[in-house]
Amino acid sequence: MILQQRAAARAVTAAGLALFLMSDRPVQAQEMELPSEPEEFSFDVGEFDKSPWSLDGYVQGDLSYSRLNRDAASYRLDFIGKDRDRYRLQSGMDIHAGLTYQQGPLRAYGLGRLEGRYDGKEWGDDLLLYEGNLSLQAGSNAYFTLGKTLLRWGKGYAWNPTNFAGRNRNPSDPDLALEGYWMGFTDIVKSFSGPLKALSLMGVILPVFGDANSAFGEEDHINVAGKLYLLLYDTDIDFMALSEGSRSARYGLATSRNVTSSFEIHGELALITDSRKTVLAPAGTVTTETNDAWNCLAGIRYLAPTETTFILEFYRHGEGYSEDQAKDYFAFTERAEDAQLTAAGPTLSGYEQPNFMQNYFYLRVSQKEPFGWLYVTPSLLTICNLEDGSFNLIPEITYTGTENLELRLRFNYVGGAHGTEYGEKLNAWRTAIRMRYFF
Amino acid sequence: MKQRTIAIAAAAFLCGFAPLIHALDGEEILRQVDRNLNPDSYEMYRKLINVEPDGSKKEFVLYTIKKGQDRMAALFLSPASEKGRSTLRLEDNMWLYLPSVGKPLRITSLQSIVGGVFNNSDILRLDYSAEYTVESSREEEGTYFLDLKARSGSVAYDHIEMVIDKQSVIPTEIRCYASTGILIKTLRYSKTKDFGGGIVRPSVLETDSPLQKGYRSVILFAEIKAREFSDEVFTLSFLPKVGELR
Repeated sequence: MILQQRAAARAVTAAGLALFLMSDRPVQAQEMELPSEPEEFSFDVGEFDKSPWSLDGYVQGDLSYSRLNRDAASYRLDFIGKDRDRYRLQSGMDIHAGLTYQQGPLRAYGLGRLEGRYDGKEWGDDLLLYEGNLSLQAGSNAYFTLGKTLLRWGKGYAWNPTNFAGRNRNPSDPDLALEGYWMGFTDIVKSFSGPLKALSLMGVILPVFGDANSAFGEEDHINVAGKLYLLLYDTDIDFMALSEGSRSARYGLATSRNVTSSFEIHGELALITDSRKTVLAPAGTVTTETNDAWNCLAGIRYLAPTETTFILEFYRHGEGYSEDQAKDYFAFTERAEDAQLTAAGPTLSGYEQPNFMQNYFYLRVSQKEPFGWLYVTPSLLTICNLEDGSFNLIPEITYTGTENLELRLRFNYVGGAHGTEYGEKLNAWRTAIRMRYFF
Repeated sequence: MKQRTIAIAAAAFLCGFAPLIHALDGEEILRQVDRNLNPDSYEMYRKLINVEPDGSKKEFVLYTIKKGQDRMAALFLSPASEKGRSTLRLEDNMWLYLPSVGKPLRITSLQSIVGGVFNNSDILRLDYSAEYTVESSREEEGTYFLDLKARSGSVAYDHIEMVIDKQSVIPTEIRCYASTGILIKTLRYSKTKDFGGGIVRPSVLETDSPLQKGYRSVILFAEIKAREFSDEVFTLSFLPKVGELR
């Protein structure tokens, strides 16, 4: 009996030891997996006390090398009366600075750029005021602004057909700074509970007199624009309008919505009444077409589980030129003498706008830190003209590993036959490096 | 016989409603967690640090305001390359304003405006009780365990497991899962501190993810103060002007 008890006790002890050993292993494994203690990070919030003055901006240096397409229409127009080069080396230095002063509800803001640029032949410099305005905050639901201001309406990334009171962006580089217009505007906002969560109404007065706002359109007009914004059923909805004046009257709708936690859709629709278009015949004669035109854009942004972001847009440019009209233009520039091209210059400006034709496709794919490359974001961007099949293809790598320093390397390849939009661009290819230091 | 019938009916009644009472307890704990982490309406300063696999760090300082359960905005004060960026959240809607772009763009909760392990929904986190419902709760040795389920498909995490210190009713660890059951990240609160005004809460939030091995992100909290704001502050029109509230 005693032996049986001892045997039982040994068995229990052995089982207990075995269980202990077995149970010890996962504990050890868990301990191995536990994260290390957080390091002692410091945060002195006093360093961020607010001052009425604030100066922000960046210093930028860039260098580019291009192979020029000597058969292109853009080349012929760009090199009228100049030495005809095959390659072009360009560089520049910019200081881009914004100064803000705020005292109570009043705010003064100025944004300017000082630039020195080498165009392959000589250096030039330029000083430009992008924005300069005074704002008054009247409570939290109304403010007034007077001065030079850049308004950007619309939901698209590459194009904004409803951006009636601002300047058009370069779809290949939509983040580039743009100059504002002199204007006065007010924005009144109200929040609600229920399906309509917010409503705001913006009114803009934009005069064009003399040199003030001459790029906007015809002189001697006081232009009035407005935008009504609704956040309704979790959807952004903008209605915009611009009265007839320096430009013809136009009406727009823009919308965007998050469909899932990683998928967004957006769109814009604009009606341009009495849109005027200068059309060049092959013989060089010029006619003006006037029609109501619809411009529209539809797009998505999707973040894949692989941290890849896709931005895709389709743009219907109703004011644009048809494929036949574009061919006539290219044929004219090919045959015309320099003197004819110079004389026709002002009438050709519509053809020299980016994406002057009618149907476009935009795709940008970017990947965050692939292959464990820290702070490196490669991306690929393409804009394709859906009528003539020409395109540009822009692979890009951005590196942000050093605080406040951004390095960007870009290559722009243009694909398209002679007589197509991108086939007639100035650069056959272009490689560029840009360095920005933010302060 | 009648008494037995009444007793059986009462037992059946209690059994039937027991899960509801249980769920209500869990919801109450979750609401308490929300209030213990921050006041209903407040402003605060945060430093967010991304620690990369090679040990290098990136730091961001944000001024943040929040009102009620569903309105939040944050402004980047540092580094210079990010200064002036601001983000807004209204329920499940999120926008990012970049001074260089000049207009607010819609962003989604799974994106990250700062890189690292924290995504937008972590940085613009609403009350847990606004985004999640309590599926089950239990209590063990001074700790509450809550299993939470997202109220809608637009919430960043399908479900989360929350470990809560029973005495302080403050979470110590939060495990966030995708709908597939994959663990997306683990959040750990630590270093409880008295911020003044009756706010005693963790001053450090750390996270890592099995999907981003070697990466780690930390938030240091400072100056959390109760403050009232008008609803209009949390609109797209006001987004570029959030800094004027400081």
